[in-house]
Amino acid sequence: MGVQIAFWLFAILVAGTALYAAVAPKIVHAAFSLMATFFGVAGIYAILGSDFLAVTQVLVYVGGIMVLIVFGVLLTDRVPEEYKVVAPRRWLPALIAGGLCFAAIAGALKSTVWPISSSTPLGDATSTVEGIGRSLLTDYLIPFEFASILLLVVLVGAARLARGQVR
Amino acid sequence: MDGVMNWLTQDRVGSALVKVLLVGNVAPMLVAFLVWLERRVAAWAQDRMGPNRVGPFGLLQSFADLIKFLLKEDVLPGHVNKAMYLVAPCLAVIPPLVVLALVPFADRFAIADVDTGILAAFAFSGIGVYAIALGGWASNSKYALIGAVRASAQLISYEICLGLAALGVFIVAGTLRLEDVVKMQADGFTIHGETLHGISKFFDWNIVKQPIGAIIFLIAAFAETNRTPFDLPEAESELAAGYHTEFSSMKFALFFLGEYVAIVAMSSLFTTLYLGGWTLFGVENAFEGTTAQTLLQILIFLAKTMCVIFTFIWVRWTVPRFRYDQLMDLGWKRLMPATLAWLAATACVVAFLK
Amino acid sequence: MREPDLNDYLPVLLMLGWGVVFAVGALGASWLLGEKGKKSKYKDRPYECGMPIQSEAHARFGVKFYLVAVLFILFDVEVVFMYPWAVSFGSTTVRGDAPSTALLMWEILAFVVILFLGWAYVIKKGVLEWHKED
Repeated sequence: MGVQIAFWLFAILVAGTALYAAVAPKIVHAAFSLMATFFGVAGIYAILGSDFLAVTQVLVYVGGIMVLIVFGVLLTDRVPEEYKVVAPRRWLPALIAGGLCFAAIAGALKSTVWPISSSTPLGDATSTVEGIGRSLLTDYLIPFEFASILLLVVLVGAARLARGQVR
Repeated sequence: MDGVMNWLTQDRVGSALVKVLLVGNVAPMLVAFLVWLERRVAAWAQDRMGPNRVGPFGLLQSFADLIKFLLKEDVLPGHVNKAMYLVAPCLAVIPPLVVLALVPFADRFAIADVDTGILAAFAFSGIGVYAIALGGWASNSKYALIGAVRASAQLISYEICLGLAALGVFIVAGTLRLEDVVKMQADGFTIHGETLHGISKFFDWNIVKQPIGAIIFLIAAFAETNRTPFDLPEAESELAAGYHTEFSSMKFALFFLGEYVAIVAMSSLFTTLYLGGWTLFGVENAFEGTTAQTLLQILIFLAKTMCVIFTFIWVRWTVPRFRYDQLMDLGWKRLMPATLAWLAATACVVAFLK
Repeated sequence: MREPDLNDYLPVLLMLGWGVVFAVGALGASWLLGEKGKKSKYKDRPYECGMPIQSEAHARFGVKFYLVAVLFILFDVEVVFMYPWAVSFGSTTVRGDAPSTALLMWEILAFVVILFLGWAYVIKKGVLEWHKED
């Protein structure tokens, strides 16, 4: 029962703040709304029993991705008024497109059979962190090492892009 | 009394609330004391008197300051972005308080003893950057904005070093739970079939096993709390007061408070990770199972934390400020590879010597 | 496996709540008790040490600051990946499972070396050279 209430609270938080992030007239307010969304998602992870994922969500999204957005705001000139306003007459097409996407996702979710396993995949690990670490480095070693290659590619890309500015 | 302590050391919502109120009120009190201490130590370092008029040894100076902060005009300048201008000081105080909630002050006396321990602490301390970024942005003032940009770039750079430096402890410990990390430093390891006892248990502390990691952690902690030699965000000779130039009365006080609570939080984390937390060579178990035991452990923890905090103050009055490029070079080009090398060395030692 | 107990995290939320109450309370108290000053046009201007204000405060900053943020995210993700490794590595050594310990070590070394190459490239390209004009 408590879990149900917590879930609905977080779900409403996520949906509400995400919606406000989309329609907020000021970019900083939208960014802050998005921060609350990330927190809500972390809460839902925590409810599902993935404490490591929840903490990582706060660490990487709230503490990392949000920094990029806030830096974007901080480092640029003030945005001129004409870019700020969401044109009201585009509401209808946006609503229809959004509704269609929502219907497609909801349909897919409804028609999928979700297998629920009764055994925990993490074996005899004493915590989720240890279990995740062990399965990352045994069963999912290749994706794990590929993650580092992916990060390397992004690093190189960022360095290339920046060099154009430096010279 | 023992009944109360038993209730407090059990995990229940009611006791958690009591502990939250306890820590949430003691921490600002401690900050009041720290501000006085900092000013006295500064005076001592510079061979002058320091605050000595309000109360014995000037101890009540901070409370006089608090009253002044409360009674001064609460200016809301016309040129600021009002909502964010008010949110930023709040954001400065909340994250370090939450970090304190994750620190074990005594055996079974952490407010929240969680499996992800240190990661949760880093996650919340990382949110502090928004207070500075927003404070500077909302002020619509040049000095504030430059200070904010500098400060946030500095904070995020050193956050990496902080996380990497602490990683060494967890390679040794094999758990992220802070209580277990403390206990591992107290159980005494065995050399040639003999378990260490008494004062020699010092060699079980992580500062002995992880000296380089501890130093890098401390340096990164200085940078994370905007302390000299990393106090460029508020370099008064170039930026007026940096990101809080436009803040006055209580709003400034909250920034100030947040900075000092962050120092307390970082020092507590350092004590927990490297200095054996609430343990002291077995002395901590002197009053087994009584209230006095918990109180003694809290006292030991506080004493160790105060030593770390004193190091913060001592360094501030010893070394000059870095230049910005030196600061960034130190973080990215020196500390980061050094930490990675240290981690590799730790991993090799752990893998091949055990 | 020990299921993570969510009640463990509840006190964190409580502390978050107390932080909000404390901060808002402090601002409210100052608003109530503070001296009510007169309005003045000088209070509505940014403080620039008494010099007349020449331009808007918001200006463009060097792209380097943004790059620092990008690099931060990348290395942050790296650190997050390394924590579960450290925990499983540490607990394996505690159990004394030597062959898998050595394997775990080589695996993470590969991970770190690949990222270290990226770091070296970034440094070599001079992305973090602060003393040069851009």
